[in-house]
Amino acid sequence: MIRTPRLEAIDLWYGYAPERLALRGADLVIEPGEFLGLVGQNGSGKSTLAKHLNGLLRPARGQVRLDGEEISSLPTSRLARQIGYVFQNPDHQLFSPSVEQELGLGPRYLGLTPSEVEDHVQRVLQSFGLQSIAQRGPGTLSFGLRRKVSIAAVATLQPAVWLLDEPTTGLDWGSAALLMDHFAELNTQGHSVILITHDMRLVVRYASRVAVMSEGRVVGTGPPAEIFRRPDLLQAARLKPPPIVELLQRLASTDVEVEGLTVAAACRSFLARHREKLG
Amino acid sequence: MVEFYQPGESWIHRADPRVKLATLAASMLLMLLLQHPLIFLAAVLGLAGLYRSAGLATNKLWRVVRAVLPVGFLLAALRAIFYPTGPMLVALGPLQITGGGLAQGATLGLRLVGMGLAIFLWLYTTESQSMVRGLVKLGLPYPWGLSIGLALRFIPTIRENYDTIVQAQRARGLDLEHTRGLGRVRALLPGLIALMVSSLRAGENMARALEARAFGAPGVRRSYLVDLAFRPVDWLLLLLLGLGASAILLLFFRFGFGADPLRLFS
Repeated sequence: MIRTPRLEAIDLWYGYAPERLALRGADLVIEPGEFLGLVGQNGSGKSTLAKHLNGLLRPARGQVRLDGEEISSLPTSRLARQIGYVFQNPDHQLFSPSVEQELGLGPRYLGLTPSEVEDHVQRVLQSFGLQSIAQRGPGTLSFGLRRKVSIAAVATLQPAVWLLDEPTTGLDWGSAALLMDHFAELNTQGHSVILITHDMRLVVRYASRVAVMSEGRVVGTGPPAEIFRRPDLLQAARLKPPPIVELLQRLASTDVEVEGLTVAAACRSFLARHREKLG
Repeated sequence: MVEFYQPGESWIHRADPRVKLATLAASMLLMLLLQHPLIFLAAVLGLAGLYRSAGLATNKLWRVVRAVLPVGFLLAALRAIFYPTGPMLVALGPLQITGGGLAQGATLGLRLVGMGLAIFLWLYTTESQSMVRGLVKLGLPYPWGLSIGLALRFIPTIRENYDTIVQAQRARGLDLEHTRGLGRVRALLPGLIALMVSSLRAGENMARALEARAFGAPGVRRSYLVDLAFRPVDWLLLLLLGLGASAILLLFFRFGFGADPLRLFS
């Protein structure tokens, strides 16, 4: 198991312009080894908050703490080994003429020796199954592969905490699930994962806790089952629960009590409660 | 999409884009012709007044001034140091600061600020659609006008993309806080490649999207949502511009108004 730090955002305030406040006192704690879903409508401050957690943005007011130590004034380069950030658009993260060089860029930025860089690159090429395209230019790859390379490029730094900013945008459900399975695996190894997404199906499937943002603040946190039962929160953040949750809520009004956030869980719950009636 | 255009209802916003283009062209020409720093100071103050009259936020004005001022200062200093003319003011060894050099330097710096303010006043108050329409009405082929409009609209977007790309580099360990000079340029180079790739991709997608929406359909004369028509006030503005510019040109050629950096009339 790796050692993962505790991250804490305390009363963060930030504005891109004086009249455009993106954060208005945001508080959030990410416990070591947690898989957190960060949700909220567009412009609610999710990405802005995430960019404070690795020093890309500095708060006008408030603090970011890593294992209790204030880090909001530390440069991002000092935090890159602990906190990895995957941006929404892979084309904004690919800089090198070949996939292999792309993967080595981060380790070189951090001053690792050529043999260390090579070790990291080969390990990640193998674990992501990218050996066959190691010499290809990232720009010539399909969107799905470019996305994979952009994540692999962060993986060479072996961060303990992963900030994923809508990583499944543009991917079909199968590719998205495959990608998220990778992060679920990392999570079981002790990595913290913060997933910013609009896809509530991903949230219920992977996140152990959800933080809901609205107008620059975290307005509610809790397990997905708890969050999706709170219409006030869903309305404040203009969130639509996953279809299965909506179905079960409608069924509840017809006295059919079934619980679960996934189809499998709902089926299990239904069978457990109605086995006798079904004979 | 982020644009330079700042929506508003001021008289400058409502003026015909052709009048604004003519005013911009005339002011550029005059700013290149005239040499006296006081005239440029007056021009900068006048432009600041126009920003206010257009209802533009003060930070828009300062943003332009802040962007142009460092280069303006550099040009002014170089001119003052390397072109000593007129009465000597300060002599420190080989370094001679003269009245003429200083005045020419001030002119250069203020000219840059004035030109920047004029161009951005045009961009801030003219919607890209009517800008393109204006250029086309003046005889520019439509695809060219559209290209200019799109290019101007894309500058802020490209800037935003560049910021994100640099953030992505920093997130992977690039230390920009302790990198200066040539090292910084070298460090940012990979980001420029990523910017080029994403901009080309965006450009290609946009071209396809335009084509898919019948851009350049053969055998069709396209219609326009925004059609321009000169209003009486536009003719009046054009007349005032013509009279003002002619008066300044007359003064310049006849009485040497503003031709010398040290004397208003020479």
